[in-house]
Amino acid sequence: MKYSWFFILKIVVVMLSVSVFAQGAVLTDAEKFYGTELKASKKVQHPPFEWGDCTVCHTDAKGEGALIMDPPELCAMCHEAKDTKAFIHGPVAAGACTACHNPHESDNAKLLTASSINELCVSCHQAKDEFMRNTANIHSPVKDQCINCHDPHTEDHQYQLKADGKKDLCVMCHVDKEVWTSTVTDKHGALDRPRKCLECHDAHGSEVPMNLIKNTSKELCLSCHSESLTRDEDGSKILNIGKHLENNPDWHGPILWGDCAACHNPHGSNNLRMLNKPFPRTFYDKFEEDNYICFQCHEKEKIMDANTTTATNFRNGSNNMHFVHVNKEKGRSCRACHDFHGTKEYPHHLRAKTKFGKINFPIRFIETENGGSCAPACHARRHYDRATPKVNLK
Amino acid sequence: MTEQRQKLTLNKMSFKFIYLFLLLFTTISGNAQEISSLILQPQDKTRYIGESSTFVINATLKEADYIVIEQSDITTTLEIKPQKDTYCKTINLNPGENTVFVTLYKDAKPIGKSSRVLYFLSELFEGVDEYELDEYKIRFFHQDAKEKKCASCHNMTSNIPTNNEALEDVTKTTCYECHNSMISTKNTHAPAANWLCINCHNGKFGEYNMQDKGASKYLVADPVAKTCAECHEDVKEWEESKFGHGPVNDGRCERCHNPHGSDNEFFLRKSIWELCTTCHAEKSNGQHVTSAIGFGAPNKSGGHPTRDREDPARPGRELTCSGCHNPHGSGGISLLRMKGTMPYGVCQRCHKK
Repeated sequence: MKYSWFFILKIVVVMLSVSVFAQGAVLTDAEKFYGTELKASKKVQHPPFEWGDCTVCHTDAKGEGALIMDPPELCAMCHEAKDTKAFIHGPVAAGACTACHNPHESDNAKLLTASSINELCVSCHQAKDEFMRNTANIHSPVKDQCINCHDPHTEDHQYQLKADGKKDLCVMCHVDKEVWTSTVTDKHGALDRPRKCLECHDAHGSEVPMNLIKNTSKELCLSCHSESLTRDEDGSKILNIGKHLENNPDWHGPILWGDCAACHNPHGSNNLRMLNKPFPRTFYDKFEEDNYICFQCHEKEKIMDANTTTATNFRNGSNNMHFVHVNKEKGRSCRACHDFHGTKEYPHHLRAKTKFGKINFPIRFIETENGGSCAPACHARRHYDRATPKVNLK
Repeated sequence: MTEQRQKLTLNKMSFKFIYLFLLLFTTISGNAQEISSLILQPQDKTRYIGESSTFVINATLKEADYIVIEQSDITTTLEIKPQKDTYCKTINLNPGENTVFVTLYKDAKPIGKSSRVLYFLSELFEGVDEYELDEYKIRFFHQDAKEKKCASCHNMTSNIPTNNEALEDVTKTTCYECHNSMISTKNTHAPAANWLCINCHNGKFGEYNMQDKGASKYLVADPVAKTCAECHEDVKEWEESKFGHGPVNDGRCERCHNPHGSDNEFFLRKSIWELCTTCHAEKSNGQHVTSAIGFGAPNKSGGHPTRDREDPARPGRELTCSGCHNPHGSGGISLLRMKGTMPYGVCQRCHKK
């Protein structure tokens, strides 16, 4: 015989042990989803149970009788009281310590009744279970464990949070945002609104990157900016951009994509109107390439090539009229002629009126086959033509 | 409506006709009656601070064919139409005293005449003597009684926007109808070109024209700087500069700038060099700065150039007074455009090491 009985026995033992081990390693759906990081290597036992002294808690030595007193007083005989702060978790307040902790023994650390914190929490907070399983972006501390932010017993802040959940808690991790928002020159008023960070973000997560509470940044911004707001710093009015976009359906690209944040930094910035990159603060400014956020998308040749037949259609022959207007010591900024949000009257995002000083002057643009003309505040009607350059006398 | 200046040309008439005409003219002209009610506007001995004067002529008295307005060498002819009694014509006055004759003609014969002596006060032209002015009065036109006379033809109620929203089509404004020649210049000031007249002609008065309080609903405050500063934020800065320029200190921007527009840059009333040397005449003698300092000084020649060449410090612009001086004010002496406190720093704008 080729195989000895001992060898066959060895195979049987291995197979048995494998099947036993495999049986022990079968995970529930919740364990698969939330993990088993609390699982202890061997059973965790409550010391009185380990000693076999049931009378510590029970009225009889077998541990079959009633408790000598009700939790939480019973637990508090040995453990610190867990209901001492302003806000108390429901089960703690109700004395239901055993809702989460097994008083005898458990496979998990802290005698918990589940093998992960989140699994334990969602056993009551079922809506959050649903949320965590079905939401595209979950805030990473939430995914890790709820107690990163919430104290499971008692805390001085609402929802047993470890600090005020509207901002203070957030900046415990996002300290860079704390520094940024408090030091930038052009601040966002939303940060001082009652719900602070939560005005825009969902602390648990959302379907949208950055855990925004609306589907696009535009939708989010317009939830406030559909009325004329007042700037905190100087009391000046901010355009009702919702109404502006409604009345001016020819939208600038980023607005078509719903992305206000393509240009604006909602946490504030050191640029005009919280822009992500600089833009001249004044109507006139010395032209510098680095002073225009516009070049993030638009080709700089449009402004910087004095002569071109390709970079822009705003040219008189090959004389680049963008260059003439913008690229100089007292250059005009784009706002002189363009509206960056939406327009209606004219093509090319040309604004109907230019505000200069306190007056709104019409630009009176007329487009022709090969060019056009305008009669704004700045000069009498002047013409440009790509095919046959015009001479303007006034 | 552009200014129509037609010189009477006789070259198309036959020689015979010229002879007859001259004969008639010399014999009959003496018979043209003085008609006191011929010129409804302006009043005699009116003083102007702007160059234009609008004549309103009543042609009902005689059955005339045409009206001739003569003003030194400029003659304007207005055809008389049967259904129209009153004729308006805006003329441009010369600096100083102007005598303007209005004559009615019928069949080439003068049948009625009247005249006005007017005074255009502009400090920027020689021969204008303020001492002559006592007998000339500034007379405001837009007063209820006078407006009533115009109301049969003209809408005398202003439709100028008061909300800072300029109209798309400015020709629809009531002011445009009579005052449109105002913006025929090469460069026009935006509020004027956009007919936001009331932004400046707001009826307010200032320290220097308190006596005119209430005289016209379109009065402009004198000094005007406060009005200018409503748009031009720099004005405040200029007024606060350590060394100031007289007209700026006085708040009288309009001394150098024409607030409606001009053929010169920055709506200046003359080109920069001509404008500066109007008051600072001694600076035009070719001995500017360098003939007083350096080797061989003082001498009568070799002054620093002040014009007729390119300004090295401002590429593309011609050298002129404002290349070195800031007419609005400066932190240093002589209104020099200097950085810091060293007057000779201004030289380094062009004379780099």
